[in-house]
Amino acid sequence: MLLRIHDLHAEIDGKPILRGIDLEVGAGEVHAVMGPNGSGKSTLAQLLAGREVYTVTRGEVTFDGKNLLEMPADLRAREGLFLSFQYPIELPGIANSYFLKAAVNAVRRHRGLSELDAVDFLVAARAKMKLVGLREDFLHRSVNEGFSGGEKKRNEIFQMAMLEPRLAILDETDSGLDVDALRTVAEGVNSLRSPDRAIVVITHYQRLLDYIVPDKTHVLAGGRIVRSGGAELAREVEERGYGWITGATESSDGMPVAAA
Amino acid sequence: MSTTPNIGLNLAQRLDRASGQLAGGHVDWLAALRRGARARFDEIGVPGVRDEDWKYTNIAPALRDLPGPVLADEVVFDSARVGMMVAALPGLDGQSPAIVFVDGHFVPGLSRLQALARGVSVSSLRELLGRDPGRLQGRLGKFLPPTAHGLIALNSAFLDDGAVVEISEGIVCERPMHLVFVSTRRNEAFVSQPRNVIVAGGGSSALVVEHYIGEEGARALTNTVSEIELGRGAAFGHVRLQREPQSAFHVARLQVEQGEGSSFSSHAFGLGAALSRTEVAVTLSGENAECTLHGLYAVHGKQHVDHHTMVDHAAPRTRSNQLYKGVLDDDSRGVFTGRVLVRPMAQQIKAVQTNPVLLLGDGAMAETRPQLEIYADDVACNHGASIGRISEEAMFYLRSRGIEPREARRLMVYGFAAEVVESLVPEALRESIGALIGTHVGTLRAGERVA
Amino acid sequence: MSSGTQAKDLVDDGEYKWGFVTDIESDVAPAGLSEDIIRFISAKKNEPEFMLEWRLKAFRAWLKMAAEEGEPDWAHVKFTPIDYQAISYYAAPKKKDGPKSLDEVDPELLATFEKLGIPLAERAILAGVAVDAVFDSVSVATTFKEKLAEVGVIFCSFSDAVQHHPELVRKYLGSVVPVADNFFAALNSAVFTDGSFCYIPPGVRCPMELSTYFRINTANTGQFERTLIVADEGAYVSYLEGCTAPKRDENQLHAAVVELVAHERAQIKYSTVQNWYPGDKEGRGGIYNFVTKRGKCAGAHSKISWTQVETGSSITWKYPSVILQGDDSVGEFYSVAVTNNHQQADTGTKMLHIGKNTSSTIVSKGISAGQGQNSYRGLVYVAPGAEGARNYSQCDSLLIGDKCGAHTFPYIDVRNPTSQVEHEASTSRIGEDQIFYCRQRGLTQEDAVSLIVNGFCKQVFRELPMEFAVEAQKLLSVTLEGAVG
Repeated sequence: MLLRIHDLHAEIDGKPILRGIDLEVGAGEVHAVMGPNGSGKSTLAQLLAGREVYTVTRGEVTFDGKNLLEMPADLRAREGLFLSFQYPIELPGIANSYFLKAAVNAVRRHRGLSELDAVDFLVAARAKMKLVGLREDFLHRSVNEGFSGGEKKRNEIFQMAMLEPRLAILDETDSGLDVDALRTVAEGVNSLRSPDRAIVVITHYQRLLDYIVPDKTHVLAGGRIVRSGGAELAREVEERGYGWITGATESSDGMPVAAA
Repeated sequence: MSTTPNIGLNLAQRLDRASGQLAGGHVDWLAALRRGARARFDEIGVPGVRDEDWKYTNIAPALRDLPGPVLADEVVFDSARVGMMVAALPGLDGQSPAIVFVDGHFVPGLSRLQALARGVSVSSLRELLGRDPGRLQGRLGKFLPPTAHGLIALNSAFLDDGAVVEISEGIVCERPMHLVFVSTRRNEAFVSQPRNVIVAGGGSSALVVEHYIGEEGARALTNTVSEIELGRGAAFGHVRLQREPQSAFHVARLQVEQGEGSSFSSHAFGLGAALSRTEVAVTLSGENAECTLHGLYAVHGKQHVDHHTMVDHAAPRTRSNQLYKGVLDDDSRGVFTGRVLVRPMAQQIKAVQTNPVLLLGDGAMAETRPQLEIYADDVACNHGASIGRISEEAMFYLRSRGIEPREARRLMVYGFAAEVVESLVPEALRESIGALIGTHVGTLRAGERVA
Repeated sequence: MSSGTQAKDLVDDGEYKWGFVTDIESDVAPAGLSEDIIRFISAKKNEPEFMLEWRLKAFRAWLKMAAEEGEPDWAHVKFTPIDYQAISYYAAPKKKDGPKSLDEVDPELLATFEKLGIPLAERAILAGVAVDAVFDSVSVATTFKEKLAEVGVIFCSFSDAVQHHPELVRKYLGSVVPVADNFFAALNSAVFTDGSFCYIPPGVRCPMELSTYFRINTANTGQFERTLIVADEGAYVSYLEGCTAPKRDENQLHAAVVELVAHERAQIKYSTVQNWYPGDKEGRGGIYNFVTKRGKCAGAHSKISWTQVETGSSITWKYPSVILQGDDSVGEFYSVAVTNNHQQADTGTKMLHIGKNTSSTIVSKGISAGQGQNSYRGLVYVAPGAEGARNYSQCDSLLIGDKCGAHTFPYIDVRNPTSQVEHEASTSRIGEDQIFYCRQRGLTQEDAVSLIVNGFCKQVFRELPMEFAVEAQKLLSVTLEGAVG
């Protein structure tokens, strides 16, 4: 199993957000994690990537058998965990090419591969940029600075293509995209599907899942997974909303999770 | 105004040692100018910390017990070594004109003045005052405000050498001209007071780079004044690369007068010296004149750096844009004061000023005073300042892409500083200064102290 | 626009409607300042020995400052030097003893405050506001004292506090603004005659708004009142202050001191609508409002919030400040300052971050019209030990007409790298496109300006208690009347 999450509890500023997550994702699988606003989806994504503002109070996470929670954020990335940010950060003054070359070579060094020189890097970058429809001058611009919402999300997928992760977590990658951009991004992701790579798609709506069809779907509410199923569960959520699932939770533990 | 008269008096007396040797001693108007400046200095002395404009920078210790200048016949230096230092300066390729001064004195052998474009002259102030003093009559000190502080008066009282750059009307200079000031004397402290005069004729276009460097250990006080006059429609760029050794003190004033429709761009880099104070004062006298003032100060250890700008919108439809960035490591201290004045009847003014500061060191201190003084109503003026650390979010983003904390920090600091470099032209100069800044921020130790 | 016309009805065609003089017999000390005068004031008020000593100490500090440096000259204001020997330092409505109850207050005085819109008869007062009325230098009436006493809140004139609560006065007086703090504070400390005192005991949330109304009446006097508010642990109080003066051709000095102390988890909200006589259109007369206001967040999690609307005075010189000493304490400063005709204002705040995780917010809106000069001056200081301090400042200036000036002088001084300080400022005139848009929708020029100015100040007005906010908006319209051509 590539990613194994067991009984994960986490809080921020003393406020519990995750209340016992269990999830296993194997290589080659695509999982969708859905849930209403405030259900803990983004917390889960950021926590897995090593964001330090969250405190894990219970449970464990292993990545390829190693204790993920012990690793600093950059080591997780070098081990092959990639997070596509819901709100990608702007880095004024740092060119995309410079930034990405530093990242790619950090990952390659970690994997015992030789570093790419400027020419090799450019060749690789050009090929992958086509994948998500980015123009060449993009490499000279500062990271995400002044990018439209669509450009930022394409940049995330482009980075994912360059870093070749073993596990990619896409946090609300569909938010703020029009249909064309959504399709481009989804095609980019699909082209990166492979038997040794796992993908976790975190989303509020089902529409991205029309393009990236998941093997398994989980519904997160009140900080725990309240239902799991196949691709059909996503469609059911689309038709019926979250109430029928989260309502059931309310009766079982008394927590008004939908409002959490 | 509160001053420290005793320090000033002693200093002036020590400088008097050079009086007999000053350039153009026989010229009446020049003698009168020096006398006037000396009288002013004797009256107001050296600025003190009780003077509002010098509240955060105490210059007095730098001036106490300071011997006088190095006289012309006392200049001793290793020519080959200084030649190598000059050759290594950023942007100075084999083709660019350069005028070199060592310990305050013009050195023809290290200068390269053959490469000048037609209609451009670069000369030593001392030589010019000996040869053809009339050319500078009424020009020296023409735009310096009479109320300027004591150290400016001191420079005028003992003005002797420096660079004079004259660009005729309509001349476009492709290559930057370099003014290079090297401090070498290490056995004894000394004062060097270069005075530069630049006249850019109407419709001309040129770029001047002032370099201040020195041997580590040279205990120089450089007190320099540069005056620039821009004719109608002139476009002029000025770069100051202050990289004096940590043993030196640096005080500089750039006084700019802009004619109608002229545009001026300044880049002030404050990287060196134990203590430095750099002033840029621009008067937008002609309608439709505009200026862009950029600055970057990046210091560490116990360095103290003070940048001071004054933009005087004296005519309608003038525009100014200022961006000063600071990076403060260790126990360094960075001061920025930026004053924008819009005079009555100067309508349709745009003025923007920003001063972001990054605090890296645990003992670093930042003081910022943006000031707007506005007496007209059709204006759009803004200023902003922010002081803080590297964003945790950005650090997380970099690390989530596999980049180690130390490298991530260096990248962040470089990215922060790069904005100041980006607006430099031509490209060759931008690249070489960019590389220099990249190396410089790499030497800041902040990357080693990540939790 | 309806609110514009309503405002107009209320303001007597834009004249300063508070400019009448009350004809009442007063005890006035001879002009001049000396130790004898201070002894006279102290004796007149029957003060304990420690008060006299405190005053004399302040007076000596003031003499030294006067001899060495004179009045502070760093502010962006111009005025002819004040002759401190020509001022009378004590004026009080004649009365053998202080009034024991409202029934004993001179009906002429009650009528005066009635006319100012400050009815002192408790029945007539809007429920929920207790008032201390200060006429010239003396408190003439304090309402709802008994009701407040039921919950342990002490709200009385400063003179009463000196008589009945000397231990509290002794403990807190000068603890935030020391006697030698600055020229005007030292002068006030030496000669102040009255003011308001307020103490909220631990855990008490003051059941009503407290308010002081200041009125200068007598000619050639200075007004020097002293306000001291102490909120003990976990207490809460909201305090309002208003002021007016008659129209006179000569300038009058008002040099007050306000001290606030907030203990652990206490909150003090202090709101001012300052409407001293601003002088006439040519700049003759008006009050010199040279005031020192400072609060100390002494305990952890305490909060002090200053809100001021400064429309009056010929010169305003004041910087309501907060010393953020307790960890996690919060300081706020919301200000609207208007200068029209020849008015000058140099006002702002100081936020001194000393404790850990302290935070402060500054929102300043300056409006200049006529030949007015309006300056924001503020300091944000983060001490070396103030880990995690935060400040956000926003200073906006609006210009109406081309003869006025708007100036911004922030000082930012950061000595801790874990702090985050942000400052933004803008200066512009009212957008012609905004005015055009309003007029195209049928508003008059004046209504359009008033609407836009109110929008500009909204962030500050919403910090004021409701009645004050309405009052402030009206005042703003009045002050700016005639400014728009």
